[in-house]
Amino acid sequence: MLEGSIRRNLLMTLPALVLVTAMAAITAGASPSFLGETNLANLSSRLLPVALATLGQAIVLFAGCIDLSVGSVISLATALMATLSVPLGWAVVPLTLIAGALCGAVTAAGIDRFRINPLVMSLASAAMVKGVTLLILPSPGGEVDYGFYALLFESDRLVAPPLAITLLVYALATILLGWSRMGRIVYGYGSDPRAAFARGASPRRVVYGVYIVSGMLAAAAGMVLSIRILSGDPLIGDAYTLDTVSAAILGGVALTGGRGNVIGALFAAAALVLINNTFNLLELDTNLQSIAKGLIFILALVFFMRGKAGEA
Amino acid sequence: MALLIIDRLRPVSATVRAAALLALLVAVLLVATGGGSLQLILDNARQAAPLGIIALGQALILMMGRLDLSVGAAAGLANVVLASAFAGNPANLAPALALTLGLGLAVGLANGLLVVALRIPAFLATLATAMVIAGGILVTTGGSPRGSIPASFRVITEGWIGGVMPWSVVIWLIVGVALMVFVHFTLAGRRMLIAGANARAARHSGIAAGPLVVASFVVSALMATLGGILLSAITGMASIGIADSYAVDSIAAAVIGGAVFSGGVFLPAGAACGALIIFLLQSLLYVLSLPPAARFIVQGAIIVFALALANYRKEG
Repeated sequence: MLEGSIRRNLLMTLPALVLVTAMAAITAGASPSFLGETNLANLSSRLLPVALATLGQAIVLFAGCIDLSVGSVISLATALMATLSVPLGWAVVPLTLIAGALCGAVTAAGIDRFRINPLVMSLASAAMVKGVTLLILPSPGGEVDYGFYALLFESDRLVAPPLAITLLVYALATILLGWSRMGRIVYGYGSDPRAAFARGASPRRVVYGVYIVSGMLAAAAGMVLSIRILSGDPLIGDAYTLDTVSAAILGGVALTGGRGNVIGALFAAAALVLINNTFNLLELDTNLQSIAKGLIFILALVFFMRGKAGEA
Repeated sequence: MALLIIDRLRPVSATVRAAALLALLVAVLLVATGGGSLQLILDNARQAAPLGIIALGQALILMMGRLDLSVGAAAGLANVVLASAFAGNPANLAPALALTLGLGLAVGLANGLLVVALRIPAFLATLATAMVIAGGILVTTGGSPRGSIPASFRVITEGWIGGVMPWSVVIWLIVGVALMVFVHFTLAGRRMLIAGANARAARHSGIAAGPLVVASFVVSALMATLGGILLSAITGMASIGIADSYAVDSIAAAVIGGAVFSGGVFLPAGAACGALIIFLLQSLLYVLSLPPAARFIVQGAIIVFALALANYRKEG
């Protein structure tokens, strides 16, 4: 039986679900404005970029690799949006996605062609992407077309578009990863590359595939982020790299590959977004956030890595 | 036998490779600056010393087959703590140094215990401690750290011995030689090397790797602290995030110098060349008036190039 199937991995999503529910309950109890419409809309618009980037990270982790360039690609996307969305209009969207895919392809090329350790290769491409981003946009600024904002954040539909997009993307990912041949190949490669190869999976296609998807999802996350702040920031993504790894692991995705599912990652991403929100609503020192996140990350690692070899 | 010789030669040739690249870079820089002087190169070495010392610690961690991504944060912590404990008064030397080194020791122990006792992969454990340290600095300083380094202490980086040799380079050399002697000529060091090269073989030979791994993280954190102290002497004040880039830079330096991710190789001279290369490249980009952003691209490309070369050789 495949370990990648969603049924088997449902148990691993429980801790993240408990965490996110508990946090929501505590914050709602302590601050009445938590359940207000403005705050919920704010939460869903903050969740979307984290959720998109985390999904990419989770898919890379399923294949037994890791992508530490997520943050840089997010920053690159905000820079592209801030410089090109006004002159180009909607054409900037496919362009940014292609840029993200290219970043992923570069990382994959280093891993596949030069056999560089995925962790280090993604660190190296993170540095290169950061350099390119700083060339495009040396300091925070630029302008994002307001049309994007109106469409994404000012619509009066029943379900706010950010939340709808998050749910749709995750539903699609769940189906593709859990019930398609492609998904089985990714999980299979992650849990045992040699066995997957013997059964006809192409390691090259898996590596390129997961990194390109991760790059495109990170680019999408960057687009959403830049639309929300209506400008670009060449360093805004840096904090997101660890958040995505942290969310994936908290959601039960195994670092060793082949295990976990995206639902857990979504719960964990929501928990991370809630942490920020809780700190703001309870008027705690925002700098405590990074300490809290670091400690939660360590706890999650301890909890999920128990009894496994701690190499690398 | 032949395999043994090749195994002995491979690390040596990596150092030679790094040294050759360094020589090339020095030549290009001398041409680009129109003749330049040895003084310019030595001044670069003086400023590269913090990175060089941090890279030595990183090289030791890489020898153990692991990564330390908290060195940048640890160096930044040393900077903020040293400056505020000194508060510009030379009389505070002893307590300031003790406090800074003590905190560095604590960071190293925390990293080591997370990795060994809790079995967390090193790069994630050190990323998490880096996050906690960065948050801790922001919380305690409120984002604007105070204090300054007295001029008498800044001699360790600003002073030149007889106007010829910067003090910081001497400190760097001493630390590098000490680490090399430790790894290659002491029992504990050789055990570390073996545990890094082949953990299973080490275990079967009765070497308990756990304490050695903790020790390597303590050394790395102390190197990062020392690097942060030198950095403070260079800048003379406390700043937030001053050493953040050192985590990736130190990995780049060690890798350019022939370190491998599978562990078991320790080349302090190579790491020193790597650190110098990174600094000279920055100078070169400046001389060629390229934007500062280009350094990130070059840095990433160098890591890829160095590793691709190393892997290519291993197979060929």
